[in-house]
Order: sequence, then structure tokens, then C-alpha cells
Amino acid sequence: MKVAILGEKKIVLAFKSLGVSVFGVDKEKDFNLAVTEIENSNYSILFVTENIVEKYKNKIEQFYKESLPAILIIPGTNNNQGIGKESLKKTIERALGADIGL
Amino acid sequence: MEKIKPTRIELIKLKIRLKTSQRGHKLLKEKRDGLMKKFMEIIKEAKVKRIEMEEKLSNSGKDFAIISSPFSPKEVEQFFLLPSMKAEVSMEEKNIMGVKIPVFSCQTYKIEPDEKSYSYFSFPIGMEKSIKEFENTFSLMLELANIEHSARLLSFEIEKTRRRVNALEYIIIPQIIQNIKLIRSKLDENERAEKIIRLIIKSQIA
Repeated sequence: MKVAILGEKKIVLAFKSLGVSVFGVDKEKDFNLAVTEIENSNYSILFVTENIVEKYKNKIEQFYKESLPAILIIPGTNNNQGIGKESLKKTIERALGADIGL
Repeated sequence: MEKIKPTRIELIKLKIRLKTSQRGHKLLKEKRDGLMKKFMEIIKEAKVKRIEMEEKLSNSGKDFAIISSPFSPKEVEQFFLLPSMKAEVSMEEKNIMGVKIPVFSCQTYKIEPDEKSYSYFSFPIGMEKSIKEFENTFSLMLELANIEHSARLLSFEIEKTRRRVNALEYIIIPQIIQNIKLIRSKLDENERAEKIIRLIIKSQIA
């Protein structure tokens, strides 16, 4: 099984040399293509940059419930916006009913 | 509340249902507690690792952006046209209280050990360093992906289990108890009425 990364071309290209399948997304067309590709082949881990998560929230959130691929939000080139932390917080809230600030 | 027939057979059925739901409630509660315990362990780890990963990655991301800035996007793409390493992920399933959680183990290996897929001539000097940094962060990223994913899957299951526990505790069990009470009182009432009738008949005969 393979690892994929979804993000702006500027930053994700470096991962290509690590053997990760890179999906550079600059336009919506790229994103749709990437998503269909990811859905059709068996990727087990998917890294997504924060900007992409923010832009295509609905589509990414659909992936959350699937057991595969595992999604990890990584910071992109922009300053850390805390979207990854936000998603972690949401997970805690879902499980505990409230964020008790662990 | 649906209308229930005040018969003995209904009472027996309700009693059995009460017993099963109480047992189910107890089991589900235990499941919830067990899941919660696991979840807490995982989430603590995730929080620490997340901070570490974000710091590392945004640093190396910035470096990479600076180094690649003098080149056009197409050129950068060209540098990485051929991957020099391959990442292969194998997956096992772990079962935590009935929740199937994937455990990944990842291996990266060089496709051709002695060869680099870029030449030192065209490749910017800093780029290699920046790639090394990404490489170092990569295993941490994979680990975190695994942890966060497990946490997410567990949280969905905990939510579901908690709903079930609450439904049983606050709705189904009290409802059954009330129904049992209703039938009991109805049956008792019938019995008393019958007794009185018998007494009356007896006094009339005498």
C-alpha cells in the first residue's frame, strides 16, 4: 500500500523523493482528479496540508469516517493556522462530550 | 408509550426484557469505559507528537520554500521527477473493544542504492539538506498519522457507545420498569376485585 500527499505544489514536491505519491493541488480541477485517484487505488495514509483542508473541508471530512486512508493534517507553507490542532480538539470533544483541556 | 395488555404473559416478557437490557447496559458501560481509557492514552501521545511534528515540518517547509524560490515551479518539478526512494506501507489490524484499528508499519528503501536520481550539477545545494530534513520528519509523520487516525476512529465508536448507554439508562430501562409496575398493579387490582366478589357471593349464599 502506498502513501500519498495532497497539498500545494510548492511544498509537497519535496516528498516525491521519499517515494510518496504527490498530488499537487493548485486548482479545483486538480483536487477533484486527486480525490478520484485516491478513492480508486489503495492508499493507506494521506497527508493533507492545512490550506487544502480549509478549502475543501466537506470532501476531506468525508474521508474521516473511513478506516482507510488515515488522514493527517500537516502545516503548509503558510504560518501555522492551527487547523490540525483544531481537528484533534474536535476528536476529543466528540469522544468526551467536552474539551476538558488535557 | 404504547398500550400494554395487563396479562401475566406480558409481565413475564417484560421481566425478561428488563434483565437483558440491564445486562446490556452494564456491558456497554464497561465497553465505554474501556474505550475511554484507551482513547485517553492515545490522545495524550497525539498531542505531544502533533506539536513536535508541526514544529519540525513548518521549519523544513520554510527552508524548502526558500531554497526552491529561485527556480520556476516546472524546474522544481523536474528535480523530483524520478523518485530515489520508495515507501511501502504494510498494515495490520488491531482490535480494541471491537473497533478495528489499522496499525501501519512503513519501510522506505532506496530504489537503486548507490545512485541518486538527481545530479549534483543541476541540483541546488541546500535542497539535499532540506530533503534530509523531510526524511527525518517522515517517520514521525507516519506515526502521528497512525495515532490520530486511531483516536478518530475510537472517538466515533465512543460517541456511538455513549448514546446507546444513555438510551438504555434513561429511556428503555425506566420505561420497562414503569410498564412492569403498571401490569402488577392492574393484576393486583383484578385479584382484589375477584376476592370481594367471592366474599359477596359467599355472604349471599349463607
